[in-house]
Amino acid sequence: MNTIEQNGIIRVDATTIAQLSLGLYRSTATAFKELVNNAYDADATVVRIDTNYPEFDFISCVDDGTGMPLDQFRRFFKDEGIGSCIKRKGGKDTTNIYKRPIIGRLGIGMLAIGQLCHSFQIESHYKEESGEYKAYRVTIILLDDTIPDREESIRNQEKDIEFARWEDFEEIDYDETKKGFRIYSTDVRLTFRHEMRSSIGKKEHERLSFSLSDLHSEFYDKSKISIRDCKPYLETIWELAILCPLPYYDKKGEYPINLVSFTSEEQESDEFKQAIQFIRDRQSRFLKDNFRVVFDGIDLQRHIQFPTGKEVIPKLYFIEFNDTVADLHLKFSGYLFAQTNAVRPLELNGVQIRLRGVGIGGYDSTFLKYYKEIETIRSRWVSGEIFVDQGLEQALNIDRDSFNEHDEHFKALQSFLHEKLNTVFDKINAIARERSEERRNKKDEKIKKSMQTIVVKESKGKFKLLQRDLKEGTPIVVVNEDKGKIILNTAARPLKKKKADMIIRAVELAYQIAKHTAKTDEERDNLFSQLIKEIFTELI
Amino acid sequence: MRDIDYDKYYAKHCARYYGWLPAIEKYKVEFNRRSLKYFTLCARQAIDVFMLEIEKLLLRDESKRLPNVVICEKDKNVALEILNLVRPPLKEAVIQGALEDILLFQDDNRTRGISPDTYVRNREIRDRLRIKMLSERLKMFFPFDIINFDPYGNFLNPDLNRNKLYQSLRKIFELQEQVSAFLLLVTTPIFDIHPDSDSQLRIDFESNVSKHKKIHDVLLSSVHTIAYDEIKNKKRIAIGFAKSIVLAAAKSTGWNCEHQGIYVYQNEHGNRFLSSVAKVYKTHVSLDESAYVEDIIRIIKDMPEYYSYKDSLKNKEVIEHLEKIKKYRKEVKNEYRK
Repeated sequence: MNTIEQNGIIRVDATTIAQLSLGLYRSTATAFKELVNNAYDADATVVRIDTNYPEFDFISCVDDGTGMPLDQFRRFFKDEGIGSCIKRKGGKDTTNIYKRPIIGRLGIGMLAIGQLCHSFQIESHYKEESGEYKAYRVTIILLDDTIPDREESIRNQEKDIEFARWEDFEEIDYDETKKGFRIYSTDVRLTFRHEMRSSIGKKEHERLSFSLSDLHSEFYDKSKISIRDCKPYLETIWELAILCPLPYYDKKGEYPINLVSFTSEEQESDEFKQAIQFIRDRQSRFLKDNFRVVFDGIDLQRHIQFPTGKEVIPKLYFIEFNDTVADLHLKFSGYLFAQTNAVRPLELNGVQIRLRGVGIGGYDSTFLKYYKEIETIRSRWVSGEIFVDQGLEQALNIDRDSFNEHDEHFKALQSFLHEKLNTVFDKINAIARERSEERRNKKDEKIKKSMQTIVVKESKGKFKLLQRDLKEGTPIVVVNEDKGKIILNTAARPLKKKKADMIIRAVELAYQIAKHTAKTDEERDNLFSQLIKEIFTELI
Repeated sequence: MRDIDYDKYYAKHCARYYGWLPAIEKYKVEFNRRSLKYFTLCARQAIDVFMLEIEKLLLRDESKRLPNVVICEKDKNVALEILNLVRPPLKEAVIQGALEDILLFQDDNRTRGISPDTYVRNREIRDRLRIKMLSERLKMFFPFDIINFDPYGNFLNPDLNRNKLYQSLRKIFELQEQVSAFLLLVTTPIFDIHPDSDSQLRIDFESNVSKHKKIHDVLLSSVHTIAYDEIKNKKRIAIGFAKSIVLAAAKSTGWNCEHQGIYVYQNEHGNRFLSSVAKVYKTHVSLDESAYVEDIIRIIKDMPEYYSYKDSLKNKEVIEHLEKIKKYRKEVKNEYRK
């Protein structure tokens, strides 16, 4: 008889993790991001990703970090299986050389390449703990007719699902110039190739420049609303840059926040100063990390530029939280930027949560489900970044691209953010109202002046137009021929609807001028028609 | 061999500087080209590409990239290094694979009728289809103005009949059929020559001497002998290489050659390499024997030039030129970071 203990431990099968890891990532950029994270954790100073543009038939990711020692490879691929990560063993939280916060937790990141190719080679040149320099190379195969079909294996409820194979393992001579870890593949998935190639038409290929400043201009090209307009290849570059733990693109001290756009009064406020200081500190931390990601020869940097568009009123807010939540320390800080127009590109609208420097899931345009400003125009006016330095990791889903929304830390962050957003939106709503009022007044003033000009011109100087609030019962237009005045009674409201009301006044005004200016019927009809044309052109 | 530091390999740069460069300049003027279409099997340092750029033989387009430069590299690691050096200036993708396999690809039962864009579970077939794809792509790039055939292998080992490099050279001549002329640079090690290759060179040499009185006479007046073994090794191989490899492949595919120079240089380990530079042009169906004889005579009289490793280290002009290329290469990298 089968018995079951009263209490027990529930485990996850390694193949489950492997299954998940092979098709886990939302986009090409998020798959590449995992390889970048591994290089970051390995204290690499540079990781180079190449796709062999414009053919995309040869993918490589090469870093100059500490490499993957052979015993780690053995544990990973042979003994314990995928997901046996020891990066944080013994409570280790930072890397040995650059003291970077360790990103990896599960040890499935390397298989992200499996989303882009069917087989790949890895080569590691590293230093053993004993001080000995070693190197090896091996091929990992994910798709071959000798590997059982995964779906079939699952259906057959096989216990140990073979999901990949390695072959041609060989220990090779250590080469200092190859120090680190390299992955390369010529067995690229057709889907990846096709998607990338489809974005490089003849026209795009002819004009594409890889200089960093040209790319920045491309991303902020006014004809583009969204990065999607740049098509998949450039979109991948942009997204990868935004997600990676990299400094801002900031050639002239103008980005990500251009101070010149703020009033001096705004710049003097404590909150503004805190936010700017925070951004500068973060930039300096990223620079100190001494970490570069070079994608197809481009040194990636985070292309964020605020404000976007002319004649916007920008505002900057600071966020800071440091407390214990559910018995664990939660610490985050960040900024929120708002402007009186939609943020461009669209992908920067929302809030980006950065955990250990790495962007999780891109900018969330729902602001972690902020229900007060759903689908309003003004929700498009805000962007921000929140850097979580402690906590929240347990809320991170396996794809490192989303959060468990019922996690206590996530909830705490969410409500803190929403509280702040109330202030932000109250402020920008007020500004928007003010601006709208101002615009309306300006427009009214302009119309008033134009109407005066029209009246003087078409009455051949006989009348001047005045606008007055006259007592109740007075007609819309009052004519005083002796004094050469036509008074538009602004207190009279013949119709409730503003536009209809405006039309009635215009017709009445044209009629009275024509009537008191023209000498013959024909002249009067022509003048009326002319006045209607001119007044309506001005009004509408 | 490939672990040699080409950035300090001045003897090889002598061949580039004194041989390749003037010949390419001359070709550009003669055929009135604004920019050239260039195919190369360059080493990881891509010196030839940057040399042609600084000498304005390759021009960048409006996007500051080099169009019409195609690089093929067999070794994945080296291909990566080339990518890191020449990307993004290069406009075309690097062709990663063995040139011989790519050029000589022929469908078999597994690939016939299957498009390279087909999803296939079997990895071996996927590999073959990839070569098929590269083959189709490379063929689309032909013809070129300059072909720099500087492969890993040795033309003179193994024997000619089984030599895939020689077959590849023939294929290149065939694929160039749309043009009337081009410049061909071919490089090979000339140590470790296979006995069969050596015999072939000897047979071809003796056949030349007996068949062509002019060659016989020039040999006597220039090198004072017609005996293969009595001729200095470098010259003997230069004549043999031109006759049995370059001219043989050219003749069999309807081309004539006019050798502009043959350069022998030595690496730091004392091993020697030969680089031949020839203008190749269309000939009539009835092969022009006199042109062929004239070419052999030119080689006997004036070729090869020799650059020893030791002497090259003192060659200020060549060292400075190579330094200039390296400096430029670095500038190009930095330019894209702005």
